[in-house]
Amino acid sequence: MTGEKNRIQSLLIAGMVALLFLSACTAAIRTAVHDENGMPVRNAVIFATEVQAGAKNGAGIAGAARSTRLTNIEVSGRGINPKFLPVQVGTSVSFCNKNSVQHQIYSISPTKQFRLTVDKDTCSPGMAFERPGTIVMGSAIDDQMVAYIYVVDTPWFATTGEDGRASLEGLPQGTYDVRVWHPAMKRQPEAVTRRVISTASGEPGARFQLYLRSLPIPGPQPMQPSPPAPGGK
Amino acid sequence: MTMRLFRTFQRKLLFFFLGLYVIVQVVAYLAVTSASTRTARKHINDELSSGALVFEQVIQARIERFLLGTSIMSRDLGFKTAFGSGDRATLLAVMKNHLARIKADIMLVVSREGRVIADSIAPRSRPAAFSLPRLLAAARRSGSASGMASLHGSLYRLVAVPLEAPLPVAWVVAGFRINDTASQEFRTLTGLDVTFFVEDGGKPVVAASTLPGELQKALGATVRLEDLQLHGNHEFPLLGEQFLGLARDVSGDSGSHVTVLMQRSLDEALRPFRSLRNRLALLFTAGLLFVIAGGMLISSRITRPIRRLADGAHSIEQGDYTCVLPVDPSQDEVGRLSNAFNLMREAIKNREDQILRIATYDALTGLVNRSHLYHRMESAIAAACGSARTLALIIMNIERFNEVVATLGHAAGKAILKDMAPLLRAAAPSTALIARFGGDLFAVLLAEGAGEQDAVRVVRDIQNARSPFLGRKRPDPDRGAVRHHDLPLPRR
Repeated sequence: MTGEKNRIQSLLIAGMVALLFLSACTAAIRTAVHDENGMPVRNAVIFATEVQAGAKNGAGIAGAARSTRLTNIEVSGRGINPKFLPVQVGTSVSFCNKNSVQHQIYSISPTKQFRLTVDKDTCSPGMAFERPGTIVMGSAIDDQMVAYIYVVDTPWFATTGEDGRASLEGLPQGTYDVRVWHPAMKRQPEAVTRRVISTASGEPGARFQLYLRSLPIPGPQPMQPSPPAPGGK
Repeated sequence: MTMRLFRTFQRKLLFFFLGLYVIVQVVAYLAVTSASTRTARKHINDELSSGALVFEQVIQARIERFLLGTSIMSRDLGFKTAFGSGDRATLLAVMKNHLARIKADIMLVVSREGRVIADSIAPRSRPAAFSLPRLLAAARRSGSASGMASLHGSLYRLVAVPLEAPLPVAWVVAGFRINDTASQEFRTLTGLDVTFFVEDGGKPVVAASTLPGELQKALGATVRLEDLQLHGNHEFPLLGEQFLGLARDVSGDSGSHVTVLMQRSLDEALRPFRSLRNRLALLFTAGLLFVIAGGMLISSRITRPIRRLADGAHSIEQGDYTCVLPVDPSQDEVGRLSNAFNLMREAIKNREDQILRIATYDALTGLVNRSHLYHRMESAIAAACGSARTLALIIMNIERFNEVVATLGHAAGKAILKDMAPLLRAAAPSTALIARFGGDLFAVLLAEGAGEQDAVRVVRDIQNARSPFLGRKRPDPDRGAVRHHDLPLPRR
């Protein structure tokens, strides 16, 4: 279902790009993400920012690329779907509660902090994400719920599938910095940048190898208090 | 000295009884003391072991509850939001509220990198590295951690749990202060004195204790780090009192060195035995007096007849044979000895009388002999000289005695001599001393003041007396010659 949604998103993005840059020739960047063991990494967010003339590495593009879209996030069962959601700066997100109980979705991430009360079977009004960065969300009534929103300052982004691959479609020709984000990655996305020059003729690729840590599982852990050991250690 | 002390049999007996009694009592006392000390020590060791077990279980239960409380508290959305706000004042306000909820004494929020973000005890302090990184490391490994450690100069029982929003963003460290008052609880539970030590510069420092101030100070000065690292029980003196102690490391995950020393006074445990000891001492003293009194009585009863024997022997030595020992009718050894003594005294007296008789009297005639006569004469002459009076001695023999013996035989001679005694006794005055001088010679010593006339008269009376043996023929007065001499008396 997530994959399907991603595909729809990709199509939408592609459509948008087509609209914006109708006159220009478009290009695509194929990417592949693996972990240190060579296994494909899914749910990694790939995003490309155009390197403009005169601007330094990773300066991003002008505000013209701001999104005004609305995306839904569903709270159902014991999870938040999608669990990993990349959005462009300016995108509004609406939380829809499919559960039979009221939920309180919160974030204390520096990027955006909020506390949303979502009654059962309703959707919250859209909330705009204005700053790029990571948002970790949880539910006040269920410690084990966790979901991520990654806000990117570019219209060109995609999420890797099961095979760890994603392609950024419909980019105008130019020079791009391609980066990857994953909640478990050890380094910051800025540290893993591939500079790609896209041309009409070729389809340049970018390969990423991520060093992942295990994602912490939220919620109460089985408690293992260590009592004062008899006779010391 | 010793010889003089033991000179008498009575004393020897007394000292023997006394010595025996004292030895038995001292041995019994030592046995009781050693057994009671051993029992008390074992009792304390058992108490220490069970106390340590109770202590550990109580601590573990407390820690678990505290951990749970802190964990629940850390999941409070208000707490998370306050943390997320990045405003220290807000966070501290929430922490203060939570401290009151879980009734803890200290709370810190530490970043995942180990820097103190907020500290309820020192709200204004600048962020600094948390002093117990090993507590956080343990929490990182197993989800939570607990232990005892010193913070801001006080000892705390600490727990560390992650602050999850919903993923771990920081550590929450909460703690109960353990001071002298809080330690009392352990004393109530275990019945033991409990002292917490924190290692400071290689030396153990008392952080909290149930002991009164003086003892606490003394303990702090006495205990060394090596003592606390001993796993078994150890014994140490404090202010003249003997204590048994058991040390346990209670630092847990904190990475610091916190030790609890549970101790119990041996003297205190021995107190019931001490009253027993006092009673024994009382009994000993009473027994001692009884033994002295009884010993004196018995020994004097045993030795009294012996002393009487000794006195009797002494009087016999002095020539006094009159003393008769009372004879005990019980016929014990001493009674038999007294009886034998009396018989011996009688025999000695008879023998001496006999010897005296032989020495004084002539066996044939029964008259005194010559040596006795001389003896009497000496004293009579001395007396006469003193009073300047006269005395007379008549010496006589039997005429033609040798012829009689030659013709009639020795038996006849003996009969004649024997016959002389009553004859002379009848003739001489009663005050006169009649002696056989030897052979057929006889002597009559007249008492003081006897003059020549008296002597002549006595001689005539003797000459006129009729001998039963010679009775048939009247002795011829002419044949007897009477001569008398005046002897010059020595002048004084």
